[in-house]
Amino acid sequence: MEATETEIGPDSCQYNIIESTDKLIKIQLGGELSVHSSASVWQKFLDLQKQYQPEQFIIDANDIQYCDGAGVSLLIELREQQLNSNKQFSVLGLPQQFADLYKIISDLPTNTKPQNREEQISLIEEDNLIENVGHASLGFIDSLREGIAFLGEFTYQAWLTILKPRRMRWRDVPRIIEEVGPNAFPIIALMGFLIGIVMSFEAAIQMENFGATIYVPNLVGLALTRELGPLMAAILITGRSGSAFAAELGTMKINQEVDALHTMGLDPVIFLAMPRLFAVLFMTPVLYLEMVFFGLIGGAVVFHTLGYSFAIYINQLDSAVRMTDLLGGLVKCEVFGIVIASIGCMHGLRTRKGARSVGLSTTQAVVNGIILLIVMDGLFAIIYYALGI
Amino acid sequence: MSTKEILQVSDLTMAYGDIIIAENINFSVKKGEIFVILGGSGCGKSTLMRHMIGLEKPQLGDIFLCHQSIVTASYDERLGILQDIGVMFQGGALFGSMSLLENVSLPLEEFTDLPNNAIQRIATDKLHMVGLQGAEHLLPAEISGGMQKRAAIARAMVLDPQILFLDEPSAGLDPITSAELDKLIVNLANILGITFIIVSHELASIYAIADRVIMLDKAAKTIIAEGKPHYLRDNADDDRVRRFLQQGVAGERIH
Ligand SMILES: Nc1ncnc2c1ncn2[C@@H]1O[C@H](COP(=O)(O)OP(=O)(O)OP(=O)(O)O)[C@@H](O)[C@H]1O
Ligand SMILES: [Mg+2]
Repeated sequence: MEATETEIGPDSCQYNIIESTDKLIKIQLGGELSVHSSASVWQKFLDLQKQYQPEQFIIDANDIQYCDGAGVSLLIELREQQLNSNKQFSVLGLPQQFADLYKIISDLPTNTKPQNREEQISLIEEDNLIENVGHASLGFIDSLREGIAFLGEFTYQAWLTILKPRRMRWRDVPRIIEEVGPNAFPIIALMGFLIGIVMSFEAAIQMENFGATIYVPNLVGLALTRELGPLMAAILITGRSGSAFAAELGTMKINQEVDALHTMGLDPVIFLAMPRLFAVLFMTPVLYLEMVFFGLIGGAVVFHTLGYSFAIYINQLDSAVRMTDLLGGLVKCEVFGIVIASIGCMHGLRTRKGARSVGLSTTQAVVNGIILLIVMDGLFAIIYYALGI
Repeated sequence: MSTKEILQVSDLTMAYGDIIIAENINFSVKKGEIFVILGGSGCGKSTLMRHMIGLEKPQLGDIFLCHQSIVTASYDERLGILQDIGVMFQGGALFGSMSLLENVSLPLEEFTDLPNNAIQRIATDKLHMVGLQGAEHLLPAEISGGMQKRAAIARAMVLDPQILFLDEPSAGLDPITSAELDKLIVNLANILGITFIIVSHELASIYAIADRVIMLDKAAKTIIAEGKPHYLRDNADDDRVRRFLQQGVAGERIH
């Protein structure tokens, strides 16, 4: 069998398959075998080799005008395939300067050691696939447990800091407050307003059947102060600030800034996490109240379209929402604040190496943060029920 | 252990998980000495430094800083030891949200009762000592890698520690800045008696400042030579050590 193919161009490789049987493949090469031109022949030659599995593979390189590192790599790849199956390979007449390059690259110590990432990484980390699968499935429970443990440590440190305020750098707090708070005002207002509208509208449709639309404010007021206000505000802060904490602290971790703190004798939890905690503790109630306020405005708009006056709205709210509801909401907010700051900071400080793990930490901070918030919310429902609040 | 020995590493085995990086590491450093750790890339120099400053727990062995073990130290003892050391990490590790001056002032603010103007003065002086006049109020991201390293050195020495650990201080610096840094190191060692533990590849700098070197090897997983750099260059038993040190003969700096 014979085949000839010629490509003419400034950067092209001509080849001529002289013979291709299971005894011998002989290919005549000409022109330029470069990083660009070898692309057209690389797969062809390997396929040919696989198809015939010849006893001998000969490349006639007499007409090669130019050959670069990639060209040599092709020759070496072919040679390796041959040698691996105990077959023969030879290159004939490769011009001297390219032959030197061929020799340099083929003399490099070959990589008989690990060929893939898993094996190479196993040399520097005691990690393996089965372990990873196990970790992944236990990961959720683990991270929840770890989260709760860190939460404990965190609350304890916060308590010590309240007792002895000089432990912490308070000057970082205003900057963080600014990031957590004012920048979130518009979105909280919008969300609160929309939730208020949607909720009262849905409620009104149902209550109309019983002629009970007058109770729409009661529902909106209670739902916002007790449940939706704290939870929605907290989820929003988790997405905005919990993630930012994880990313900031994670970046500091991989830049060895956290190590630097350790060697200065400064505890990263006190130095980095506490200011963020206090900023969040300061801002969550504010954002909660903002959300309730705008939610009530949304409710008022709908209530008004049902034909009631504003005074009735206030009156209904006043009779439904007690001070304890608002206080209960505020307490929830503070607890949620601890959750947000601790989960964000924990995932940041747990970041391992590389930029990718910062992204991972950020995602985990948000996901685990929200899960823990919902769990906490459930606990609060039980506790408040038991307390009769 | 004689009283002049400010740092002692005994029978140290360093490992990440099950992977042993190096074992049987023994050496000690005297007060005021400039001690250099050599070795090829990836042989564990930074890892050794992380052990000496207490960031990693040894698998075996012990490390004494100022006659106290950092391995078994309680939390409070450890804080005491850390007050006596300064560290410059390979990447600088400056705090990204703070200006250079704030970075250098931080240890003073946290660990001294100095008034604010004194802190500013001291921090500025340290920055000037490493040649960073005029960059005091820039953020780390706004200066070059070499400048970051020098700022990190300023931060490491701001509390006038007894031991300074520097991980590749002159890598990435031009020869003139590097020579100035060397002069600074020698002066601090001679005048203030500060002990330096330096990880370095810069042979010119090693010949200029090192009182003593050790060389780690990735294959041997331990120390393969210890002594004065000039002596080892010509007389080391191990061929790898001579080759490593001779690469720099042409570039040796003239004093
Ligand atoms: N966190 C880690 N986990 C696992 N292995 C690590 C870790 N850090 C470093 N290593 C491994 O330890 C070995 C030594 O690393 P180290 O950073 O101490 O080298 P080095 O001598 O400082 O090199 P260089 O001169 O390039 O800075 C490397 O082979 C590396 O793979
Ligand atoms: Mg290193």
